[in-house]
Amino acid sequence: MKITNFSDFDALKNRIANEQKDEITIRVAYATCGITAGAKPVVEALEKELLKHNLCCVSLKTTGCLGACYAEPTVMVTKDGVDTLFGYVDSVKAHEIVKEFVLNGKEIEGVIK
Amino acid sequence: MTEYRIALRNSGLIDPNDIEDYIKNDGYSALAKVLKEYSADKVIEEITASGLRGRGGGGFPTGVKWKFAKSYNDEAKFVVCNADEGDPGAFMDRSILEGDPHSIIEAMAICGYAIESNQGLVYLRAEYPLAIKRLQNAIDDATELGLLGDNIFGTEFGFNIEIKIGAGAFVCGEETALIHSMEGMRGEPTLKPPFPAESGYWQKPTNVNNVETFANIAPIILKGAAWFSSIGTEKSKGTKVFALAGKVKNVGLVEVPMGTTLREVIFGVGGGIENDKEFKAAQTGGPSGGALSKDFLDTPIDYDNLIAAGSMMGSGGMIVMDEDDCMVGIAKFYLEFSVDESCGKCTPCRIGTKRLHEILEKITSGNGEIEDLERLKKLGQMVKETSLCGLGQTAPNPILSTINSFKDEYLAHIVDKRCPAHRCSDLVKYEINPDKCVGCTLCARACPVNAISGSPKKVHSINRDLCIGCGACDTACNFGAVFKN
Ligand SMILES: Cc1cc2nc3c(=O)[nH]c(=O)nc-3n(C[C@H](O)[C@H](O)[C@H](O)COP(=O)(O)O)c2cc1C
Ligand code: SF4
Ligand code: SF4
Repeated sequence: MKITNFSDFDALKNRIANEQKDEITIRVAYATCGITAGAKPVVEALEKELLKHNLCCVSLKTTGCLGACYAEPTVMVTKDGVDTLFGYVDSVKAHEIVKEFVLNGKEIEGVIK
Repeated sequence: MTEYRIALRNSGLIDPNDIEDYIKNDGYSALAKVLKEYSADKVIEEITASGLRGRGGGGFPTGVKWKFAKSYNDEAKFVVCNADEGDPGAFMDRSILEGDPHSIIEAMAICGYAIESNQGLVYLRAEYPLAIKRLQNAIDDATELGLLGDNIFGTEFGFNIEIKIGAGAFVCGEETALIHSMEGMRGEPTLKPPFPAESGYWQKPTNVNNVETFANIAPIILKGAAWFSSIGTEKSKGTKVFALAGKVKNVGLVEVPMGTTLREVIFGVGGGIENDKEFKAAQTGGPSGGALSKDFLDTPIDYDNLIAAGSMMGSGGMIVMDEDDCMVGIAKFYLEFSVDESCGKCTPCRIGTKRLHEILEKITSGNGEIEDLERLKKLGQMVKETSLCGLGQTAPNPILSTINSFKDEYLAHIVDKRCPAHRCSDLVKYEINPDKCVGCTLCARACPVNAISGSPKKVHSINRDLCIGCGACDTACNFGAVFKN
């Protein structure tokens, strides 16, 4: 699609705004700093775990840097509008985040903010 | 005190490879607003009224710069984004480009509309491959969607952006050197005026702004100049992103309102000093800036206060130092950087920085004379006043500011031949604590240069002139009696 006038743009904005929102968003800080610290295996582990549990209402996003460089790799889970930021995440922690925190709603260690 | 994100509003939250995620967060709405409702002059008025100043170091009012660029008529004009980010320790521009590339594209298009230019160029350093990839991807997506190219939103206005990859010299961040580098020449500065706004890329009117400066544009258009100018101090509006590094617990990027104090940044967001040691200084402005001692912890950070304190904002690097850092050594470190990065075009910078560095070397190796302090000050001042570009004009700052705030450390090196932080290896010597020494003789036997004397069961002592600082005695002693001094 190509936007050729202002109403095209408004229509696109409307469509995006009305897209069904996932209830839970998981974001992995995926900039140079995060990737260097090991964000790639974390993303893979999250994908695997999400697939395993067949979670449909969770979206996984790779983003830029959130600024918490000291604790990379970081993963932010947004559930019911509340953000929870996990630091020093590795693939083991990633599995735990999906299984325990997202799925079972249990509080787990590793929250930095 | 909390963080306040304007430039970093989307970084870490949206998917930089997904243009729709950007649009969902008001992306390209500022460009639409400008093209629909504003004249070019109105855009410039709004940016001027917001009080936004350049985040690349100089702090020049952005609206005024755009106005100059608009005032020169030519068939070709250029919008340049300076993404050279050469200050060691700063990485906010990289973060913005990697986390929110569309915000720069949108702002450059708005600038193009305001100054009547159809071509944007991003000078991006080769060391940032991921930023290059994501920005190129974003440019392609925006072009495909019709947000770049001819007749944007069906208007008369068209704009395109090209990435120019820079190959890593600090001086190439200086705008005239940057322009020469983009033209395929040596990246050397030339005298201003003429400013790029009059004669820049291929002698055409060119507006150069920093990445973070551009990142503030869309929010100003959408929320208004009054909103932006309500944040910050009288002469420094909005927020500033700092790259916190060094001996601070939470190393990372923080964006805070202008006027936040060093204390709030370092002990608030930064979580305090690592291992709870004592704060000694913070270097802002990188190699062009100065070290702020604890006397400045409660000074509100803005452009003018930092200059008055003998430092500068620079691009926002903030390196925190604790009691274990030697301020003479820090000054030497930054001078070394300037010596390496001086392009060599003008004499005061090429030779002056080298001589300054040699004097520091002399002091840290224990050969300093008291007259060296005056020499540093006099030569430093001369290099500042007579260098051609900002590199030379600011290179002596780390020395001058440390002499000002940490003169006692210089005197310790010069007069007592001691390094209070035990950092300068030529000045680190060992001593024996008579209260702890039991006279076991182990250290004397371990010392390779026979610097330790004393008879069995009597307190031993080290001859400072003979000691080479190897630490063998410290390793040998089982009673913790040996210490550095
Ligand atoms: C030695 C030197 C290095 C510089 N490096 C940069 C840089 O890496 N990034 C940058 O944006 N500005 C840098 N500048 C400042 C630019 O010359 C220019 O002032 C700036 O890009 C203008 O943008 P602004 O008004 O948005 O700050 C440097 C200046 C000097 C003298
Ligand atoms: S001040 Fe230094 S970097 Fe600038 S032109 Fe002179 S030699 Fe080159
Ligand atoms: S090794 Fe320690 S205790 Fe033994 S003589 Fe040397 S300083 Fe004294």
